[in-house]
Amino acid sequence: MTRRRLVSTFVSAAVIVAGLTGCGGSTSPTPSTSTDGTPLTSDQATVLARTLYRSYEERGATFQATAQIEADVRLVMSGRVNFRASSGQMLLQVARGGGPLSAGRDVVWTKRAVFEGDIPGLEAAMAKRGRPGVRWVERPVDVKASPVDAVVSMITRLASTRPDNPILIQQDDNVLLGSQTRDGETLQTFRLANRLVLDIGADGTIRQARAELAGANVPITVTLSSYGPQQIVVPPAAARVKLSSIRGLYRQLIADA
Amino acid sequence: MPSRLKWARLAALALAGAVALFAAGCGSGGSSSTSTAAPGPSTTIHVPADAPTVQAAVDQSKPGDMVLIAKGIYREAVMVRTPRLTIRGEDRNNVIFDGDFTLSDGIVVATDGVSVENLTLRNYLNNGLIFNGILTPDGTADPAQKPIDGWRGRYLTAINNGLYGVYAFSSQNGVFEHVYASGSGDSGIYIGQCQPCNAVVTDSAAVSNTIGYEGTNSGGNVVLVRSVYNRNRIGIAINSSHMERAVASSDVVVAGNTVNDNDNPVTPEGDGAFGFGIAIGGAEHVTISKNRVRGNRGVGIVITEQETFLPANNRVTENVLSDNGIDLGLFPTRMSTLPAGANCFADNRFTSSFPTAIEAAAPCGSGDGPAITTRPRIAPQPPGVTMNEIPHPPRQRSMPGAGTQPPSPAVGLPPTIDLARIGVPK
Repeated sequence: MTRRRLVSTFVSAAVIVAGLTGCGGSTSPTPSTSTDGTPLTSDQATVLARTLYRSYEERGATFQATAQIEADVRLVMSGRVNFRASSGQMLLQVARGGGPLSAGRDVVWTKRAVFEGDIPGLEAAMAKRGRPGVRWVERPVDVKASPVDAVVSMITRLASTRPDNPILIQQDDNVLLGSQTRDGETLQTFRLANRLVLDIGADGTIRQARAELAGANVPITVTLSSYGPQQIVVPPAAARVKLSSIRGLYRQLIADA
Repeated sequence: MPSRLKWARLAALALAGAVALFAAGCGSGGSSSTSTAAPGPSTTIHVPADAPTVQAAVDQSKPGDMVLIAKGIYREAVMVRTPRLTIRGEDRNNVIFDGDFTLSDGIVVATDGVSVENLTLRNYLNNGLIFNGILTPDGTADPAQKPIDGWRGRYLTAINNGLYGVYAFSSQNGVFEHVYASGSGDSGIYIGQCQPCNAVVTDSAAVSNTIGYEGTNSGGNVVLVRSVYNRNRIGIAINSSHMERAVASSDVVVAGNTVNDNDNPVTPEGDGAFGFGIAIGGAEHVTISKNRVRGNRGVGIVITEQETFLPANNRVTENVLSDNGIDLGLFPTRMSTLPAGANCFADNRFTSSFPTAIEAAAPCGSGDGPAITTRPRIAPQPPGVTMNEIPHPPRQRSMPGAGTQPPSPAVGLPPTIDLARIGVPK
C-alpha cells in the first residue's frame, strides 16, 4: 500500500530497465559510472519526486525514441503520448547501419494492447477472409518479447498520478550527475538507484530518459517535448484483428515485408 | 526584541507531571524517554511582532524557546534545527501555513524534542509537518544517523497536502494528538521507518485522504487509540516494505478507534487497494482490538501479505463490525498461500468473513490453522481527484490556553495509554 512510484515504477519494470548503463543519447552529459554523482539535497529530491507527476499534470507530450537493438540496427520511434490514458501512437522505423530509415509503420498502444498498422498485405488478406477494412493487428503488451513494447511501456511509465516521496528518494541511491545548459535551458541530470538517467528541465518535466533493456544491452533513449494534451485514437474494433487469431498469417506477412 | 518570559520553572513542573503520569499509568508496553528539558530560562518569540517570519523566529531561537505565531496566513516552508523548540499558533484555525501548491513542506523538523501545536498546514506539495530523522545539516540524507528523539504534533489541522498531512519519519518517542488530517495524497497521518518508535496517535481524525493512517516499517510500541478514520480509501494501513529501512512493522496496537466508510472516491487515487477499513500488510505482532468498523466496501479488517513479508502473530479481537463488504478477512493478495495459524481472530462481533467462520479457521490460542490459498474478489478502485479538489474540513477545536500556556518541548514522550480503559467507541 505504501507507494514509492519513481523507484517502484522502474524497479517493477525491471525487465525494462534493470542494469542500466546510464549513457546513451547524443545529448548525454558527462559519462556516468557507478561512482559518479552527488547525494541529493532535499530540493533536488523534490524535483525528482515530482517529475513523474509533472508529466501527469501536463497530460501528454510528443516524443522521439531510439532503441539500439543490435550493433547496426536501431529502432527509431516518434509520436505522441497521453499520460492520463497511458496510451500513445507513433511511427516506427528501422535504421540499419548507416543506411536510410525504413518506411514507417504506425503503432498505437494502450495500457494493455499494442496495435500495429501498415502491415503490407494485411488488409487484402483479411478481406479474403471476409473481414474487409482490417488494417491493424492487436496484441497484448509484452515487454519481455518486444523491444518496441518495452519502449512504449517505459514512455507510459514516465508519469504518475501523484508526487513521489522525496525523503525515500533522498535516502536511496539516487544521485545528481550534474547540470547542463541545452537550448538556453538549465537541465539537471539524475541517475536513479536502478540506473535510469533523467534530464529534468527548469519546469520540472522530463526532457530525456535513458535506460537499457534488462540483460540485453539495448540502450533506449526517450526525448520528450511539446508537453500538453494529446488525443490518441485507438483503432476501432472493425479495423483490427487479434494476433492470436491470425498468428500464421502474421508471420508470413512480416516475413514477406 | 523578543519578549523574554521565565518559563523554565513552569516547564520543569510540566515535565515532572508528565513523568509522574507515566509512572502511574497502567502501561501499554510504552517506554520512557531519557530526554530532559532545556536548562535556563526560555524565550517566547512572537511572530510577527518580534520576527517578521516564522523561519526568522526559528533561526533566532535557542533550545527550549517558544515561537508563538499570531493569526495570519504564512506562505512559508520552515526548517527547524533548534532542539526542544515549541512552535505554537495562537489560533488553530487562523494561523495558517499555506504552500500554495508550490512549496514542498510546511514545517520540517530535523532535531530532537520539538513540539508543533495549534495551527493549520495546507496546500503543500509534500507534507504539512514532517519530523525527519535522516536529514543531515548539509541538507542531504543519512539513514544511519541517530533518529529524532522526542517529537510532538498536537491541535494541528493538515489540509490537502500532496503526500502526508503529518509525518514522523525515523523519529522516536513522540505523539500526534488532536490532529485532523484531510485531503492528503498519501496518508493523513504517517509514522514510518522507526524501531522502536515509541509513538502514540490519539484523539485525532483522518478523513478524506488516500489512507487515513499509514505506518510502514514502524514498530516497537506504536499505539493508535481513540481516533476516527473515516471516508478515506483505506482507513488504517500497517505494513512492511523493502522500500524503507527498519523492516518490518511490528508491535502495534490499534484500539478504540472508529473506522467507517473508507471507500470514498473523492480522494486522491492510491496504488490499488480501496474500501479497506483496517489492513495489516506483512506486519507482525499487531493487535486490533475494540474498534468500531462499519461501512467499508471491501473489507472491514483484513490481514494479508505485503511484498515478501508474511503477516505473523497478529490478533484481531473484540471489534464490532457491520455493513462491510466482508467484515473480517485473512487472505493473500499476491502470494498463493498465507499461513492462517500465525494470525488469529476472536470475540469479534461480525456477520461475514473470508474464509467463512474465520474465528474457527484462525482461532486465537491454537497456534495453528490451515493455509489460505484463495482470496475473494475485491472491486478495483475508482479514479480519484487531485488534492486541491477535496473540500476543506470544518473548523477544529483550538488548544486550550494556547496563548498563555508555557512552552511544551517534546520530552517525556510518548504518553502512557491505559489500554484497559479503552472500549469500543459509541
